[in-house]
Amino acid sequence: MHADTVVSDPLIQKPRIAAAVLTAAFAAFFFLNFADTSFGRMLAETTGGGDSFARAGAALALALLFVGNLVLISFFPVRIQIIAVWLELAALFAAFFLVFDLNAMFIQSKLWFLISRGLTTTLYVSAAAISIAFVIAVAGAIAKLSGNGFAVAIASFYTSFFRGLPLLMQVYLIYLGLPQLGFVVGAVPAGIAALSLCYGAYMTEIFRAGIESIPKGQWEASRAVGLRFGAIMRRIILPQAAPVVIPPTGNQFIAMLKDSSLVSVIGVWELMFLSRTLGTKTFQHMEMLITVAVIYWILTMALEVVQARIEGHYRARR
Amino acid sequence: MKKTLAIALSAVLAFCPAPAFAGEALERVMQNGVLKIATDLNWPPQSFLNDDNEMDGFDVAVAREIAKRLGVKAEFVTPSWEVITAGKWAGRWDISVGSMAPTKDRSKVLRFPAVYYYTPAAAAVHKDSKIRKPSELSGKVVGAGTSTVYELYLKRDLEIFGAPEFSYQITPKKIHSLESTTVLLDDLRLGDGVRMDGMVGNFTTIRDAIDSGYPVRLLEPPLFYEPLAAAIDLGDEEFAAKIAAAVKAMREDGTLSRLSKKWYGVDYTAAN
Amino acid sequence: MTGNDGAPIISVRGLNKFYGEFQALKNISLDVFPGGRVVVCGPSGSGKSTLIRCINRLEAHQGGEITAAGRRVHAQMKNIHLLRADIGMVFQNFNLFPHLTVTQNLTAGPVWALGTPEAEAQKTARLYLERVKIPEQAEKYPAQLSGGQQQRVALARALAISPALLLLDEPLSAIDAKVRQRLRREIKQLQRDFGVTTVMVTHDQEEALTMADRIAVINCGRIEQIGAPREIYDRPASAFVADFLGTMNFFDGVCAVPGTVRVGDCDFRCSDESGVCDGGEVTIAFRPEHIEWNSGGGGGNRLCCVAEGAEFLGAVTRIVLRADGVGKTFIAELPSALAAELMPAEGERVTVTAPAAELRVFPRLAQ
Repeated sequence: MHADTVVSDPLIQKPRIAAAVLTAAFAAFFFLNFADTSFGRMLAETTGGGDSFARAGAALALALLFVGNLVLISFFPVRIQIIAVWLELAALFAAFFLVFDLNAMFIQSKLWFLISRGLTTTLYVSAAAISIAFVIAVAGAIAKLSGNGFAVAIASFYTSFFRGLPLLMQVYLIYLGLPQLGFVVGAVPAGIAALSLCYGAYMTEIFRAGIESIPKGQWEASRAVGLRFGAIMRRIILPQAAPVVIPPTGNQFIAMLKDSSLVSVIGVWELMFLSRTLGTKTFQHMEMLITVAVIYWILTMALEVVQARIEGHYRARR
Repeated sequence: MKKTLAIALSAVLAFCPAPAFAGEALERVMQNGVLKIATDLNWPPQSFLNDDNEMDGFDVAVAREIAKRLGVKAEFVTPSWEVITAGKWAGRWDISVGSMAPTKDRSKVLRFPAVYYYTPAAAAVHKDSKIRKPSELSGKVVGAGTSTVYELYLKRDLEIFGAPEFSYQITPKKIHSLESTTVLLDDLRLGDGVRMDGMVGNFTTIRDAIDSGYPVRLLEPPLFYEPLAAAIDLGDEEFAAKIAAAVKAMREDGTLSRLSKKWYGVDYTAAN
Repeated sequence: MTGNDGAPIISVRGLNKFYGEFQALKNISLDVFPGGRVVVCGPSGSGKSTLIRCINRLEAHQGGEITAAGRRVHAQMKNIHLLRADIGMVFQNFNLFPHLTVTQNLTAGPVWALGTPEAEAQKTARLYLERVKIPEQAEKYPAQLSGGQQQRVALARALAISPALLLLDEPLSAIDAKVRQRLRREIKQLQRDFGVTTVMVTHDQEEALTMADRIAVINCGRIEQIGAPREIYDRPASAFVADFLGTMNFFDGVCAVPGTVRVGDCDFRCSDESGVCDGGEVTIAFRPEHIEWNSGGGGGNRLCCVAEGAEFLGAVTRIVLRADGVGKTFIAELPSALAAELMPAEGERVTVTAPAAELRVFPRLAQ
């Protein structure tokens, strides 16, 4: 979006809007009923107003807190606003997790194993799969654009098939199906194969679009200086397609990182597998699930930063 | 046209590798000096990751003992339960020592050479529930692990070889089918009737959950005793005999009873 | 014809090219001799770009024969890249490689196609950048350059593969007028310095007249005339050529007596020897600068006219006249200095002469 040059006051600072939000918040908090919280009970006891009074009082207090917070934040510059809202949302999430009454000692005792074994496996499987998917995607895109009947048919069948099946089914098909043909593959190779084939199919379309986005003139100019197909692809077309292709490929990698959890069904000890397994003996899997959720989240955020860097790098070149 | 198609098809099939043949499993184990054991890690106390993040549990101990008696090393793989029970292992692993009930359907794809213990299956409810007897769960929502014997029991379709006599006591309104007993227990702890009114599962697992503070109550007596066996792929009788002999020896010299007492506190190696 | 000693470097024979049903090129034949500077010109959509793109087979042709730089150009030809590496090409919108620096743009062909060592290719690149007068831009990316600079890079890139032949596809059309004139002269200088055979496509008549030693005028996929600029200007083979190159006045008339064309109530004597003027409907044509003012010289066709307006174009002034009895306006051009003296007021009557020697007669154009 391109912002206009005319500035208006933040909406929340307009009395009418603020009042409307306050009313809505009050209604929502009243509906959710916070009477049975320590604050609500305190309110009921100190005023002696009874249960419904406590419910209304708690709702009003929360609504005022909520709107006051919004108004306060709205006076700050945008950067501060973003940081403040982020921190508040993070705090809310942390509070939500605390409701589970998690055992920090247990998390601490398992954290290193989760990282050294689970995270490493997840990263290793994802990185291997995205690399292979990359190669498949280049080949698939070239095949799709080649005009050769066999190549087009094979490539389009491939993308249609692997985009058309749920990934979990592909994992099972490769792990259980291939041995029926006599190719016994281990769990990790089977998982990597399933992920690469699936993401290769999606990335084929990304790469095809990327290659097609390069104007015809670039092909003609490279042919005119005597370059042959391989050199044109490698030197002229793919480098120019990279800025088009890299951002969605990064998205695919981030998505794959989480989809790699599906290979846990064939017994690969990655994050998801361990999160479901480590807590079972002592019935503390909530701890493990939340810990692993946070690990996935942090990992994704880190990768988003990396991706933004790469995108910035290509934007600078334009 | 049809003929050419048939020829083409047989030509393709000619290049498909032949399936594994008899006697192969034992030979492979002995040659490699390794018994590859598949076990699902989600079933404490049979099989789980202990505090040192190593595989541990009753099944794991029995498997190690079997390997020892074959004179080979034990090595574990952890495919999911569905993958193990699907059969056609293609030599990826040699044996499952995973508390598997030898049901009729499973015996179509797997061979069960030896039952090594019996485990009671029991119904459980949230501690706030008014239900006192398993039969009171009829007409309610009852949970069971997907494609487990407990689910088959609720479906009145349980046929286990070598199982002691039992009767179907529960006719649920709806079966709440979830991945495993542990996940079911998490659902049940949410409250009486929130996701379900009760569940059927492994007696020991439920008891351990209660010991860990789960707000759950077992309904006595156990519904049925489930014979649990080691499983191997079809087609190698020699290997089956070896396993059967090893388990028999373990039973006779008291090893099985000792392991059962260690992990369950009770001797489950005979049905009672 | 100039320089037609020795074998042609490009030989096109009976070339046909279709886009589906549409025939873009019709039976084209053209020879280009070493060192020649041929300009193919015509209106947009006439097929002129298609013609030169067939020469290095960026386009496929369907009939006829093309030989370029000693190789026959056809669909099954082996090592097409070697032919292309022998033919430099400059495109209208430059088509520089945007992800490569100027130097890399120049070394792309030599290094990646011909296997020239990197260092040597860079040396050559520097040389050509100096020749096109932008050595200081060597490490920039194309997007950082102006249009004129970009076309200089494109030119240097085409020359850097040391081609036997240079194809220029409307190289100056995307560049503003002032820079265009300078580049025109520089390209001519480069052609002279390197002696490289050039085929250039343009729709700009001035460019065609200044750059060519031979012009091929193409219209609707057909070559209308090939010849030296002067020859084409002075003796256009068809009304189309006459109209396309330079400004021309046309009168439709009937040839009653050989050598005389009747237009309205006027008779025009003409000395055209094309043999067209032997009866029937014709079109006569004469250039604005050939109109003589009041000279009344022999062999002229005197025209009594009313001045209807004037356009000051700088060096020359264009006067619109309506001839009595013809019923149609025409244009006369004369140097502005002279026009200042002779300039008739609007509506004033003047008498001018259209010399018979400068009158061309063409078959009547189908309307």
